[in-house]
Amino acid sequence: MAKSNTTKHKTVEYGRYGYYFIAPFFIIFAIFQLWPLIYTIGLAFCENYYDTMWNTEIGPTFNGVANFATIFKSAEGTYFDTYTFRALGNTLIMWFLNFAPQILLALLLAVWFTDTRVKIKAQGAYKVLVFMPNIITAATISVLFYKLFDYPNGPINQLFVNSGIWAQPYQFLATKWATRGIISFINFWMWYGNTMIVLTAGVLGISPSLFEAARVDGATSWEIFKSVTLPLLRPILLFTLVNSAIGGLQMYDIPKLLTTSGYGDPDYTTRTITMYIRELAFTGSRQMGKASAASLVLFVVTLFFSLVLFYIMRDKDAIKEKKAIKAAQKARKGAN
Amino acid sequence: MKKKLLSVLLSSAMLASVLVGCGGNDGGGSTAPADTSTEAPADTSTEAEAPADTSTEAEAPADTAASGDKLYVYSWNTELQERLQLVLKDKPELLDRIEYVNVGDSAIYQEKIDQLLQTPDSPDYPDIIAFEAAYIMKYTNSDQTLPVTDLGITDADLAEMYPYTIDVATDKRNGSLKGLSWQACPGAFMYRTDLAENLLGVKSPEEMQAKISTWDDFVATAREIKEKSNGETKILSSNGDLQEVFRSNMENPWVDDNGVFRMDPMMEQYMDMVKTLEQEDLSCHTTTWTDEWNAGPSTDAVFGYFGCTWFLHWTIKANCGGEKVGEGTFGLWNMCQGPMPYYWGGTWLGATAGCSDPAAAGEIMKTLCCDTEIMTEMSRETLDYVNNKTAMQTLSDEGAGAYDFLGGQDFIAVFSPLADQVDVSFMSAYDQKINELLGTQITEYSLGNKDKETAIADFKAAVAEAYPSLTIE
Repeated sequence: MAKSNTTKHKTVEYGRYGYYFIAPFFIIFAIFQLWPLIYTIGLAFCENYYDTMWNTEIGPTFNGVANFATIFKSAEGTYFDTYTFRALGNTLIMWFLNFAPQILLALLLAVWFTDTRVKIKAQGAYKVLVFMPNIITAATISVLFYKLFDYPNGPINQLFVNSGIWAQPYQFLATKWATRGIISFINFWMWYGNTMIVLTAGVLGISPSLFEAARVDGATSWEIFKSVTLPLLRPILLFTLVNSAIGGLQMYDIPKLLTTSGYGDPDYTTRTITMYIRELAFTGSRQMGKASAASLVLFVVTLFFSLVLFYIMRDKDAIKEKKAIKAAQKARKGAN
Repeated sequence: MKKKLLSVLLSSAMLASVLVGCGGNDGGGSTAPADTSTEAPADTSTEAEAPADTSTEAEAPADTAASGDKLYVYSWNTELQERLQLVLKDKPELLDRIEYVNVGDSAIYQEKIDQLLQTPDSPDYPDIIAFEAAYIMKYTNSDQTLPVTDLGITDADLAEMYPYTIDVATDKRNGSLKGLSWQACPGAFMYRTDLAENLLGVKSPEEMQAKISTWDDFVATAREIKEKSNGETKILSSNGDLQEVFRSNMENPWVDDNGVFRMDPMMEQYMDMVKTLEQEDLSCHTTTWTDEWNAGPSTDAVFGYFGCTWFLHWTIKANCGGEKVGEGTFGLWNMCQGPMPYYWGGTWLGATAGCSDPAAAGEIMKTLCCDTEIMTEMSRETLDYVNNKTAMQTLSDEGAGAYDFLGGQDFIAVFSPLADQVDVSFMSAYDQKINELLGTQITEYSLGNKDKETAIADFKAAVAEAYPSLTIE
């Protein structure tokens, strides 16, 4: 660009200053994110762990896909029946259990709060209440729920036992589905307010004239929601979904802190993939190589889910239109 | 031109601020632990529960001294700090140099230390580290710790120690001693005398011992206690309270010197014992070290605990709900040996390979762990069972062991014969992690979610996952 302007006798290249200003970010990014990222990919193909007996480091030496082999194949030779994939499965189950109700409730609240006809009183107060759990740190909430569901004398157990509903206290945190349920509930409860605010912003971004026009045409609330709100909300929904999928796959703090041992009690059924990676890398033999390989698997899975969501949520009409235009152009060319 | 200059200035200012931000974080990370450090006056009370967040005012004088002279001492609670302040009160030149870092959590201690040991150039690289029995071998069998002979400690200094404390800290590769301990930790069964009399009609430790001399007797007594108290009192608080007893009596260590892992028959017996306690409702179903578990000694819900020397002071006495006879359960406790002799815990000190001043580190360790006179004094003040036979003999002869918390029972007389019996051949560098893995499966088995074969198979699979280099048998 600048060169083509050499005929002009002097130009000030303001663009350059922009680069100076953004340089710090890229320098920091390269040192603290990009390099570790590349290093992790390298380590994934290396044997690297500590021999606990003498506390000495083994490796890193290149060993091909041996790390991936142990991740995909169990010692008995069955595929996907490994701790890594069980951890991944736990993560997906707990993510789904919290995300499905979360998006539904958030959508409902967002529509109610933005509907010009419903006019809920004291909206601000509701919004604050709904958003409140998100302000408290996850660690605090985990400890709170850990105490609530304590066995045998936690408040929940006392409530049910003392009121005579249960004969025996229930071991919530030693039961697979109860623990998963509690973790999902905490995530749901913490994040639906946040999702609601994002969706509210999305709904407010839709031109009110569309709603008015629909109403004038005699559409019911459900029809407006289905045919006006939802289709126009799609970009925001996509954002929420992808964001939540990435966040959900990295779920760590709540399951880590909710259980006594911190290793996904009971019997590793609430151990998420990030907890598992940390455990590999920093406890036992400190298997950096295998932990890196598991991180790469997590990366691929995250990428896969994001792409699937992008595909499902794609704008079908726009694509159809584009295709039609192309076809028309081709047809015209052919005719010529 | 001016604009260019300005922009360069601005952007460099921005870069600098970002970098300073990073540096600041780094600094924060390394100085934060120092908040818990003390070069505070040495006359702080050494009775249990000294303030955890002691003053930071001490940092000022420390900074004026040459900062390179600091000796970083790492541990996971305030116990070592209090002992150091006590024994070094006559050597302020050493005490002032100690920068005590309390990591605060035993569970993350190893991770913290492992990271620090990899960065010998970092300013907070440890000079002295404390080790627990469950993982000391990982460090003493490596080049990360120095032999005590390099620190100026001679064989003569070790003469009074209980042999097991030396066995544990000896490097298996060349037989050099890498760590010293100031305490010996034989274990006993500690029980409530008033409950024993009311429920079992037991009046002396000898009678109590007869009631629990084998595991079958123990279970029978547990049933009797539950029955006679109408379920108000259980013999133990958590099922895990038995763990150390069985573990000390394992036939082989989890992992032998050839890297072979074996399931031990003693631990299978432990699994069954936990299941019996759980299924027959013979314990309070708490979890060790939780608040509810800690509350046990102050109520009538728990009959007794398996505990060792430090456990008596730091756990039972600290939680008994009183500070003198008549308050809480103070004075209502006694000890007897229990079904098996055992040993639990203890803290060792070791100097790191990159220790900045081995002579000073040696001096500190020698004062705390070898000096008979100082150790006698320390035991008299803190009631620690110190790792010095002469000191304990002196105190026993003086009758200093009669302990009002135990209703006058002589704790030294109970522990002394047990300390001589301690055998640590069951220990390996892998213990902490493997015991955690076993705990998970024992819970599943005791609740009836798995049968024994599945639980053991899953346990072995988990060990293989954590330690891929081991041969699992």
